[in-house]
Amino acid sequence: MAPSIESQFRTCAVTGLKVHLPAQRLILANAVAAVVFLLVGGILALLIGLTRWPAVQLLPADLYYRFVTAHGINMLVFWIVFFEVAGLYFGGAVLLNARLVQPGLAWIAFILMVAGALLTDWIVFAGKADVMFTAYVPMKADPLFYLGIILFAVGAIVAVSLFFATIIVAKAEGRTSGSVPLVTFGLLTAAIIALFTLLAGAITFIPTFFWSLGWIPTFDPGVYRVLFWAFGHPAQQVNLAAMVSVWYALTALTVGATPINEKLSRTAFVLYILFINLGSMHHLLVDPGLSSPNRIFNTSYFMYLAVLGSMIHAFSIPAGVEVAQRAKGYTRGLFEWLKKAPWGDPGFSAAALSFVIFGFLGGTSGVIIGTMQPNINVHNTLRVPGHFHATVVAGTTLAFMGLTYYVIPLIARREIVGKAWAKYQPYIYAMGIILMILGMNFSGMLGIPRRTWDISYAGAPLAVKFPESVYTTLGLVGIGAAIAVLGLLIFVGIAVASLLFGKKRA
Amino acid sequence: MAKAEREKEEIHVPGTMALVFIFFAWFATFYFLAWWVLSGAWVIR
Repeated sequence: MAPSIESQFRTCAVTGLKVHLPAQRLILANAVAAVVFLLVGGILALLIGLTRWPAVQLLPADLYYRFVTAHGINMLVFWIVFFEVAGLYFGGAVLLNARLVQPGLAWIAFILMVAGALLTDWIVFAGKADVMFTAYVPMKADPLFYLGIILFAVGAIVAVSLFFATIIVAKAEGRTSGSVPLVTFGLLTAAIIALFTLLAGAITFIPTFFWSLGWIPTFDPGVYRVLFWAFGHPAQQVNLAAMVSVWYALTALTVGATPINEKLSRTAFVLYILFINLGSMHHLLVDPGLSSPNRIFNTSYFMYLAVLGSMIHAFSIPAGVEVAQRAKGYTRGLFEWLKKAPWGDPGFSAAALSFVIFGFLGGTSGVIIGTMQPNINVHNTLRVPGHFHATVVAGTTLAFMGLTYYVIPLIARREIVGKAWAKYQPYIYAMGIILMILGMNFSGMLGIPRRTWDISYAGAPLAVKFPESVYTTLGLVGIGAAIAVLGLLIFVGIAVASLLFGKKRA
Repeated sequence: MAKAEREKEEIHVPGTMALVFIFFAWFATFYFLAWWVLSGAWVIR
């Protein structure tokens, strides 16, 4: 006789949630894979950062471009998507006290993603795909590079579909009733955007794969760019929606915050679904193949409706924390609630730092360079990585690090090893990232190009001269990257040590 | 809407409002600083 469904659950002693054991194993597998790719991307980040620092210029040109390609793919795709799949299984099964449907299929999805990621990395490190993250046609990589990305995307599509199915089955089996919790709702919006993203990725990379094999004679570069950004930027909007969900989760776990107006927060998530993908057109603001009204309308009008969503969260989340803290008696003055927040809890500090850096540096710089005129000036400069490192690295990655400090005890049921290190880790990481972002932004404002190995263009027929101050700002990039990677290594060390040697919890 | 429900909706978050104003002040500074720097520092002459 098959074991009953109930025997596949355990009850969490801390949260009271019913945890589906097959889902628990999948959450852990995806989270561990995520951290492994984060480590690969992080080591590459250090090497790249030290190469962009002209006083060091560590790598030779060929390795630099190879590692920039690998860094982009490992960080923007593999680390983030593996962690998001872990998040989806958590939000879909654990938060709803439900079972994850078809765990066997979820393992096949995981294997596909791992195989795709390893294949892509192997081809890139073998020097057969020095085409950068964007892989713009007509630059051609080895066909296996595109195949690796396609395998990864197919696995991710299966995982996202299982998340949808899990919610539907949870409702059908009466595990949950009414609206799903806000965190799951946020993850649902992330999953909807992910489905769009992954399908756009398939439309982009399958023809590119055929083109690289010679089955299709040409691929219009202008069409490729539009298709690629229907994948490339929405992929970051998945991060955005997932990150905001994690902010809500972490503020609930650390200070007991609840949204001050849940309907408003849900509306803000819906704004992401409706408008943020149209804002992807900002990547093409200087692209000559598209009309100006098209570019301006999508970026300077529709994008702001998505920004409105972020503004709502930017008010709602600290307001939820303030209400929770004031209810505990921290009512003196304007900011006692903030001063008495648990700043030593890495879950809270990671969420708070992620929130502040994302908003103050990432969001604002995104809105500025999403406008046509500044974009013409800073397009393809270091200002652009200065923006997206504030959103994805400081924002998403830091938030996910914060959640990991709760995933390990609650899902892996291990005590965190090195709690004192964990206390300071988010600050070290954030300090490095801030220095790096500022260095990138200032360098970009002074005209320093992104992705370029040698800013002096030695041997070029037309000399390009930059102000002397760029040597300081690029030095900031290198120093900031080194400090941030130190923070990242501490994080990985704590996560691995806790999983392997952490004291087992009941 | 019943009076009790209306009262429940009234939320006292002065600290968050102050943070919102700090954010807008920062954004305005950052935004116009960017325009000022870009309009003068990187012009083809």
